[in-house]
Amino acid sequence: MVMSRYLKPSAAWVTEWWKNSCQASSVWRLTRLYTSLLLLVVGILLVVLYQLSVGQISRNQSTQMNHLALQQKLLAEELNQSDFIRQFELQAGSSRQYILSLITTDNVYGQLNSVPKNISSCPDTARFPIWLDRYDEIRLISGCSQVLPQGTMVIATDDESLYDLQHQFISASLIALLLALLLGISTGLLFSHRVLKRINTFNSIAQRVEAGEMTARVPVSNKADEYDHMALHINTMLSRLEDSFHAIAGVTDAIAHDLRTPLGHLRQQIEQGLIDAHNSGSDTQNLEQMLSRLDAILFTFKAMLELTRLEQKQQSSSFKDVDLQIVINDAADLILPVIEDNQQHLTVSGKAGCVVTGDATLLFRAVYNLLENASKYAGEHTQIGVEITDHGFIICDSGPGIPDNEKDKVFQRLYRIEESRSIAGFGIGLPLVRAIVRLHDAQISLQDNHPGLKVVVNFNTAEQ
Amino acid sequence: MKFTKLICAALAITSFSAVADDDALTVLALKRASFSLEQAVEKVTNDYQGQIIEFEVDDHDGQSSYEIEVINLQKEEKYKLQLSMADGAVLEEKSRSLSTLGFSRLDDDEYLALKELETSQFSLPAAIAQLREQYKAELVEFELENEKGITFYKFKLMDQQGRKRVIVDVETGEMIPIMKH
Repeated sequence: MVMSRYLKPSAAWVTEWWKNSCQASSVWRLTRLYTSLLLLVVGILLVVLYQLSVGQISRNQSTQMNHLALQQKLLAEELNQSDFIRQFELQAGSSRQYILSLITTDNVYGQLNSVPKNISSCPDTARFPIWLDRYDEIRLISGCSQVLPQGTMVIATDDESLYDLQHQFISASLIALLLALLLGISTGLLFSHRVLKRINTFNSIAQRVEAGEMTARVPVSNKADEYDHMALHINTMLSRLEDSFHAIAGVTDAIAHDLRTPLGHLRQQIEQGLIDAHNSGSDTQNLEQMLSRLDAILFTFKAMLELTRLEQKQQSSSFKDVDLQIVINDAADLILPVIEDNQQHLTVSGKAGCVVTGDATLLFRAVYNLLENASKYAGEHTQIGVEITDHGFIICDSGPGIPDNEKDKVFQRLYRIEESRSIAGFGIGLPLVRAIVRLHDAQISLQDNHPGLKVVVNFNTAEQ
Repeated sequence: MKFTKLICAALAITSFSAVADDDALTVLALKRASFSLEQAVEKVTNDYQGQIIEFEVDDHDGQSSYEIEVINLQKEEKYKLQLSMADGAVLEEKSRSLSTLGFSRLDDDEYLALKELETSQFSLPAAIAQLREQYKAELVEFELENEKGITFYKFKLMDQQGRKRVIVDVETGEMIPIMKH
């Protein structure tokens, strides 16, 4: 019971770890490569060491044994029975390293009293047990048998210590390989993690920049290694990018700002001209057209300046709880005449009670802009719907929609879709909406309504 | 000094001759026995359903006897028996449990030897018969052992030339060669 209680979380931990290590594939790949290289090196070392030590000795031993067997065979062919047996006994008596025995049909010469069973014939050797009377113990020796005209000859050598050495070598090798494996995995993971940690900081900074935080910079350590060089280069690049952004925004702002005053003066003059023309009774149509166009230009400049202000603005402490229902109802009421003019139909649905923290005026602007866009671009006899969801609102229409490749671009300043150029507008509405949405820490996305466009705005649920 | 040396020498000689005498007596007792070793082995194997791990000739209250140790692995019992050479009667029986509190008293070598003996085709009566046939000598002692992964019976035979050792591999039933010097 106690075991199973601990088993479950530990199993979960192991699977979690395994999943993570598989996902962080570069760490795992590096570790695997490193570990297998380490194992290979250790393995090669061990094999070479074995061949030069134990392998060498055992090879020498079997060569010598085979030499001896061959020699005796030749002698058996050359010498007669008694001469051969005499030299054999001499050889058996003098050899300390080899155990020699000759078993004939009626006698036994040498050290062993019988031919061991399941012995192989030379040059193949086999291990068999013998009993040592002197030490009262069993000993495992290896040797082979050779059939001679005189009888069966057994040549063997006591290689028990060599055999033990071999076993010790193998077990030591296995332990060494296991240690190398553990060491490889642990150090590999450690090193790879350290490398990856720095790469991950680059990734997270890149993500922050992507999200619009142009001031984010990669931290630079004092090691002055390749990563630091890369960080410095990326930081320089980011600084340049930020400067360019500021410059572009600054230029448009400066133009808008600087032209506002002369254009204001121009408007006053036109108004004056209009009054004069009115008084003198001449034609005012031309002047009225000029005035309305000038007003449109001034409106665009105002909107551009406001957009810049909004983009630079931080989330303000003046934010209050705002009921989205009220904001949307207000905006719908205001836009209703326009929609009816365009012979469109507006429905507002969804439940009440979606409260967000924000600026009611700005949110109203955003909703109004979106509804205005819908009305402007959807065309006549279309449906426009507003739905309040749990986390925000959705505005959809049944118009032509926006192609997928344009969906990102419409948020850029002054961008206009080719097909909509015939409709009056400056490409400021959607950027303004996005600036407001961002200010509220919310997300805006454009989706297909099949047919038409669906604008989904989601506020951060944590703020509710 | 001289005296002590003399005593030592005398003691050595007497003890040596005692051993020699002992062997001769053992052979004599075995030759006279009306209940043979083979019968004893059969009786013990049947009565105790176990494996004989040791046999020797002993003396029980002035009466020649076979001392046999049997282990029954199923019952986890070890018996030490004294069988009369005259009629095979059990003169003494000591039994001991092989496990105390769940721990085996047998060491690994003994346990391995018994397990291998159980699984092998080895037959002790057949081995004894073969030895008698081959050496024409009296069997005075044998013992089951396991060394270096090899399980074997160590037999001690006695004939006119003296003692002789024969080692029989339990697994193969073959004799293991003996190296004399």
